[in-house]
Amino acid sequence: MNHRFIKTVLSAFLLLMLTTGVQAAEKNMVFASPYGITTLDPSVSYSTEVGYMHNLYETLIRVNPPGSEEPFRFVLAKDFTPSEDSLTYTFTLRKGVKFHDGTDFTAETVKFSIERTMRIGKGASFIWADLKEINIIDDYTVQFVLNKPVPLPQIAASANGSYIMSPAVGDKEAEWFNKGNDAGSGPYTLKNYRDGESWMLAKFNEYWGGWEGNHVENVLVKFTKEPLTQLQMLQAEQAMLVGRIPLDSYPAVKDGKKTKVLYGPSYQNYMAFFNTTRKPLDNVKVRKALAHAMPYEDIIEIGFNGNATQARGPVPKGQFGHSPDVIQYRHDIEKAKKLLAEAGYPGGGFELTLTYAAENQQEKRFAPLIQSEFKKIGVDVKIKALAWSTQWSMAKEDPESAQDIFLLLWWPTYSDPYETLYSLLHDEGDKPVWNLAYYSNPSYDKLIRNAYETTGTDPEKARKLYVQAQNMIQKDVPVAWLVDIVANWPMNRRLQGFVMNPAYPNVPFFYDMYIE
Amino acid sequence: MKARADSYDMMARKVSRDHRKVRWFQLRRLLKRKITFLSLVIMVVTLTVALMAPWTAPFPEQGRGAVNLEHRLMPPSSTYLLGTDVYGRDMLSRVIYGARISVFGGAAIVFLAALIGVPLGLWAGYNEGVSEIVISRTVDLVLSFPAILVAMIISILFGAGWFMAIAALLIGWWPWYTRLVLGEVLSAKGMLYVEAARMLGYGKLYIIFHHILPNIMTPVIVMMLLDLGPAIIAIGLLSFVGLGTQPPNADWGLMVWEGAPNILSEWWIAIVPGFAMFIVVIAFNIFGDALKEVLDVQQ
Repeated sequence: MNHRFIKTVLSAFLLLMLTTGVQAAEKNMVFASPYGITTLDPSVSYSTEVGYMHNLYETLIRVNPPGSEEPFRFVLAKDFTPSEDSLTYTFTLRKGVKFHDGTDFTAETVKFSIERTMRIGKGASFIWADLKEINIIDDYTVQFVLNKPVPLPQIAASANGSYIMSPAVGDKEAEWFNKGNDAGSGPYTLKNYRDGESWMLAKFNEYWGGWEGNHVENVLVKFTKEPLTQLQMLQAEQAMLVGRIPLDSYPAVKDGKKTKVLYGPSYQNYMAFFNTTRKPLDNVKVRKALAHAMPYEDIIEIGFNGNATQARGPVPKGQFGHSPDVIQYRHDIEKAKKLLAEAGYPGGGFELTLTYAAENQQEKRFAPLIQSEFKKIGVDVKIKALAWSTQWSMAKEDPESAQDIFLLLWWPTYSDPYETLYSLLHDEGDKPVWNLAYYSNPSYDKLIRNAYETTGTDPEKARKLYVQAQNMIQKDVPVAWLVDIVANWPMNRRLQGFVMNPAYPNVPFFYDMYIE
Repeated sequence: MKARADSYDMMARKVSRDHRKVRWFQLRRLLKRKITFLSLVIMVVTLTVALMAPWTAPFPEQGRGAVNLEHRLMPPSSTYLLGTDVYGRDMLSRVIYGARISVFGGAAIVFLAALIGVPLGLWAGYNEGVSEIVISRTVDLVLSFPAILVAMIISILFGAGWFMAIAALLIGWWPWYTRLVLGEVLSAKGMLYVEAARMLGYGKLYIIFHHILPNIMTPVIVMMLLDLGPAIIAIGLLSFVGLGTQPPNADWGLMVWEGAPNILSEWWIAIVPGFAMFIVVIAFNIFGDALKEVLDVQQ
């Protein structure tokens, strides 16, 4: 009798402890994500899956958000030292790191991972173009030797193409990864992968960072395309975190009872490429006129709910190379009219085609603003909404028959202006990839290369060269730089610890997060 | 002999005319039904308002797409009877201008489909033999693909736009008319008046156009009326997925698409054009149905 009584009390107590325990530490969450997976191969990945990859895989170091005391956060490396001539970097590696498959992390794995990425030569592998060789000094020391003094730490911290993976990968191909396997050392491992539906980022027990303290342990990702559905899931608390909600719902969600919006810096910017190969946009005065006719304020207000600033040249706000000394075109209809008249088009009188990616809510929203504003200077704009892949492939095909204006959302792969300046505007001849203005200026190409190779030794001089290069562009106006955006993440009020890092756009580092 | 033939012909035509006279008499009876009458009124009003858009729309400029950023997302009020959209444009004006694209687009599809489909059906039905086999197999082949899917593929391949959308929808639309007419012709061919005309030595084309066509026009007209609703919806559907009308013009489908993200807060942006589409499509449908019933068309 007595015995039974104690048993009952004990089990009741246990039950109580269990239930309260579960309540006090909610560790699992749902992420309703609009970001699909194009590949799970860490060497090839260069697209929307970046947000999951950085939770599965790690890089040697990570760029800290602007305003941090230290420029880098050490992840798989503990330290690095550059040589005098900035051509050799020696990294000391962290000990006791295990990959999800149980393999130990050593200098050998660093060499293996980067060489695999370079060998496959897809995705963002171009970041390693100036790497000469990787030398293994000992198990936990690795040396990078460069051809040119390019900024290696930024490259090693790149958002794509710099993941370290388990040597157990061997010569397995993308196919193996795309079945839902991962070979990372990150805090989470991929489980229950169902392409296009859902997948789980599950706690990796032996993560070197440990699981003491507050961390989200399991993240169920539900692939959800529709912004409206994401909004409903957020409001019904079916999802802790979502990617995109309808533009006009931000004010309400920002101050919601259960919801909030986290705003933070981003290196993402929107731009409008002018087709410089064809009349009338081959005339620099016409391009200048259009740059003045862009309704920057309205685009910011209506396209972004005020969460953006007018761009100043190609390099986004907050990034190295962004400078108030770069020329900026102000919205000025009168000046635009005058320039058009000077160019031989008094009162406009021509039609331009503008293409944008139909998937992009913002572009869809602000393209008509451009159309309506250009009408004021007598320029008719024909808007074409195309699926992104169509928009891009049509632009790459033949500049002569391509669009006049191409709207693009751009973000750099690694934290250095060279990539942006090079990719968007260097002469690509008749095989354009990103230079959708089809612009060619050999002295510009030389100048940015010069700046890039100076960054390692003399950053101040490099900065000046970058400003000079940007002003060269601004005088030719091959592109109207529209806005630098403020990134945002709508989420549940109880979700804490989310740190937005512009160097890793669209990456939620779940390990830093916890639920209140 | 000639005079005799002519009188036979007159007789044959009179028979078919009398047949039609009875039907048109029934048409008057049709309008006595309240719901059909209301449908007709809605049809006429929509067409008139759409035709006169520059005068009937309160803000014609905004109807054509001019932005009005100071008055964004306003709920229905005395100035903006049906509210404003994300660019501050008057919804009433947008819907009126949208009617032009939606209703006239639908009409164009139906009319052109009949224009292509009916002669083919006549030809195949009257000649039988090889031409019938070729035409009816083509019809079967085209109809075996879902029309809207074919239209989507064509729009993706050849570029989006209102004109393209109509052309693309047309490809899947005309065979229905060929199939309908083919059946009608086959049964009409056995009729006495056709037999008589043939015996009198009239040419093939003469018989087809003077004797057969007038007698099978009723089911064709009914089908056109009934098709108008689906055609409007099909154009809207293509626009809804971004393959039809391009901004700043908007048909009702595109307007619903533009308003969809705001449905939870600014409901009127999507609901107003959606409701307009609903009402007009229903009106055409009810009228077409009633007509079919009164004229006793077998489909």
